[in-house]
Amino acid sequence: MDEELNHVIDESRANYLDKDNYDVIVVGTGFVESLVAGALARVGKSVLHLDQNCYYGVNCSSFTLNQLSDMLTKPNDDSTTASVVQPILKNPYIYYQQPPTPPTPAQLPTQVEQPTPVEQPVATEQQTTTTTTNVEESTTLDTNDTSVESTTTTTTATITPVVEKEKEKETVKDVFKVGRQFIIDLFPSLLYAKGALVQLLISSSTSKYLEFKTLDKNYLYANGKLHAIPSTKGSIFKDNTFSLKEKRYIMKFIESVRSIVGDNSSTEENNTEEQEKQQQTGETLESVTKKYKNFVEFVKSYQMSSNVETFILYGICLIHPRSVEQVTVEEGILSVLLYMTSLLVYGESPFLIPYYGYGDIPQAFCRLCAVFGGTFVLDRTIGSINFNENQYTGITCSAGQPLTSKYLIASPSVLSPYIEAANLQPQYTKEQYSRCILITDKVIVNSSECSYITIPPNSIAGNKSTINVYQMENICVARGYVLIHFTTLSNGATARDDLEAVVETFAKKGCLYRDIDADSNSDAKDSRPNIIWSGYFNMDLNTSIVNNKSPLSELMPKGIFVSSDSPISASIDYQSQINEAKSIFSMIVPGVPFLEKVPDSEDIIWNSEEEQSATTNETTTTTTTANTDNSNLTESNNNDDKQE
Amino acid sequence: MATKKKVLLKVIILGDTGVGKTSLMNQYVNKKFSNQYKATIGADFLTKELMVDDRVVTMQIWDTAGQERFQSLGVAFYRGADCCVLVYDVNVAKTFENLDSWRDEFLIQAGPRDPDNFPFVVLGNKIDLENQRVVSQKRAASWCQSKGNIPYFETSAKEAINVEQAFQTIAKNAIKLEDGLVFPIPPGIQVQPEQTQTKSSCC
Repeated sequence: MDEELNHVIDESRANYLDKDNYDVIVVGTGFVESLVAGALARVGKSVLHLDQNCYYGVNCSSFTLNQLSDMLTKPNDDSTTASVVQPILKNPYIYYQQPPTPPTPAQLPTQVEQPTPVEQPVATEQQTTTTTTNVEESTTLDTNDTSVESTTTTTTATITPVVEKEKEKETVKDVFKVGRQFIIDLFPSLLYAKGALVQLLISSSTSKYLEFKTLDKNYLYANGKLHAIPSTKGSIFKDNTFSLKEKRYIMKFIESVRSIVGDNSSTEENNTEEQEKQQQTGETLESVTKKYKNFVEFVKSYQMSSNVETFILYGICLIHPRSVEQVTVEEGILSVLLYMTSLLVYGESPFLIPYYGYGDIPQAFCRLCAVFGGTFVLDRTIGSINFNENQYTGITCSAGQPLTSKYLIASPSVLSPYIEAANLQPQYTKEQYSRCILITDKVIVNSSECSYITIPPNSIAGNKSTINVYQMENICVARGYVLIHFTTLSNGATARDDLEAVVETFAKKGCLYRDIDADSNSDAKDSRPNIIWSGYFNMDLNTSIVNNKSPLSELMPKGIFVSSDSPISASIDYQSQINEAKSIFSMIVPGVPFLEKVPDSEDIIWNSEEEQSATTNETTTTTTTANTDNSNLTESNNNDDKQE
Repeated sequence: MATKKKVLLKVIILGDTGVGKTSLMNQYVNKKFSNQYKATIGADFLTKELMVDDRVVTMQIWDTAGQERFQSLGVAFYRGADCCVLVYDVNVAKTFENLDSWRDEFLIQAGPRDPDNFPFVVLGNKIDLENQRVVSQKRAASWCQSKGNIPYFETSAKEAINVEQAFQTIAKNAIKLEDGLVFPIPPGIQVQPEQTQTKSSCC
């Protein structure tokens, strides 16, 4: 018996880390945590980075269709783990089109008819105890490739992964066969070409781990129509949604914003008339901030048409809190300016989309951390936190190994049991978001494969908050399919309540086509997208930063820092998350530059290699994430980074 | 074909910790070998230009950066790989037995469009320590054959045995995959310092 027991102990200890003392332990590989971990390793701190999931990113990850469907149909079993496993997809609901009745072989070649979704809706209420008529679909949907592959009669397509024909993949079974080719972000994103995140990726050398695509078009949905947002002066004048007078308003507003911020980058292009106007205003950011209560008031002071106001408040300024009144003058002006400076950098559009999903961004910083000696262990988290009085001393990880470190960084969701136990009043802000993920057979916005649409409040099916829509074609999807994301702030309603009517209006009625009046046209009808699969869920996201402070960290025992677990904020730039990472970083290593450029990997390896004398041969695995190595690395990097 | 072929190949090296992944790429790219074992620190990726059938090819060889130690390589590591090199140590049986799971891991994470024909290459490393050998060439070769005739090389990063040949085959097979794609994947943009506008070829 004893031998057996010893064996069990040996087995569990096989997973133990060789090293049990670190400068910093980071738990959760979300956006902020990954940035901090990368930055700390970069300056020679020994970092252990854990994540309770077996994948990276927490709320900032991307999943295949099969994974997402699993998450929605098999909710987290809270009883199995002590701590809360993120992400939690609340109120899950899946809708998909019923597969057509099995055709006889003779019908196969001409089989083009599809049931219209309206006539045969199949709603699978997510619940493990399915009592509806959809049991069969539910089980086949359980997304193990094996069950999908099983020889059923309904599928008409013989799937060869590469070559597929148009009409043969309109059922949910077919889409799950290629489900692994989907990269579905929990929270998709756009990156301003000149925004904080792109700048950071470049300056920290993490951009080499990532690829991007420029967005094709972005739109504003207003007055029941989609308006393409012009990206160049030329396209503004070609645009036919605004009158000539309105176009002048827009140009004038943009010039005035530029002069307020003192941005002269466009002076060469300006004709003298515009320059004169600029001088007339004489306003500064300070003076307008004093003068106007918020950005709305500032925009209204220009006395433009309401069309133009909406265009600026929602289409160009991309900060969308619960109420547009919450946008400050400064935030609004800087957002408009960021939009303008990001134009024509990597393409016409000011935006980049991560080529393989947003989930790769935290992984890029984690790789940076690993390259600088950070240790990564997925599927492992905090078992308990150890204190000495009010001083944090270390953790016992979920594998039972006691580990010590000077600092612990984790998000409120990881720390909440300990926060509650310590009777601390959490001061982070919690926002609930509603999400819908839609897979269709055709684009909902024709003429552009990857698009972003802003839907202001009260524009469609009584939406209370701004809705962001991403359409993805050719990237992040299996060939022949279109992936559409809907995101909005929720007021406590379920994602289905918030978004289903919107989705239906958009997709089913073909309302997203720019030429909406062509509804009666039969061609337009044929080109309407069919919903092949859709999933709805809610997510709660915590932001621990208020006014650039981390009040929760201040309340925590010494040595513990709290990071937001929210990959998004009201603004689509990542300034606030980056600021947060910087502030945690500088509390740990004050005065040290954050994420400096890394020399080429060739240099890194051989700089530390040269000084070595040949010693013992390769032996067993020893975790030699020694500090000496790291400091060598950091010292050798002063060649080409003089930008700061 | 009309489209210009991608000439940048991403090659990733997988295998248990300590089998010599970093040493192999350093030997190939830098013609250097260090005898001292160091868990991979600072190893990111190395690039090398080479000729394959009269074409200039840039091969980017990605190291695991140590994230393989606790099976914690993220999916991002696998994105866009054109070839996967599986390395084991001929002197340590376990490293050979784990090839199966590394191959599976790759296929799951990378999700290549045509898994049956995705190019793998297997390297049995550290053959310079011949007297300690536990995995026979025959055993390794038959495993490779059973997995769809994966090319197999016995290498020594230390003595530079077969390293050049192995990587030449790696490049050749990677390029074959690219050429064979019916729908070539349009390349993404890499953001770079100041104004060097990377011309995207996505339309």
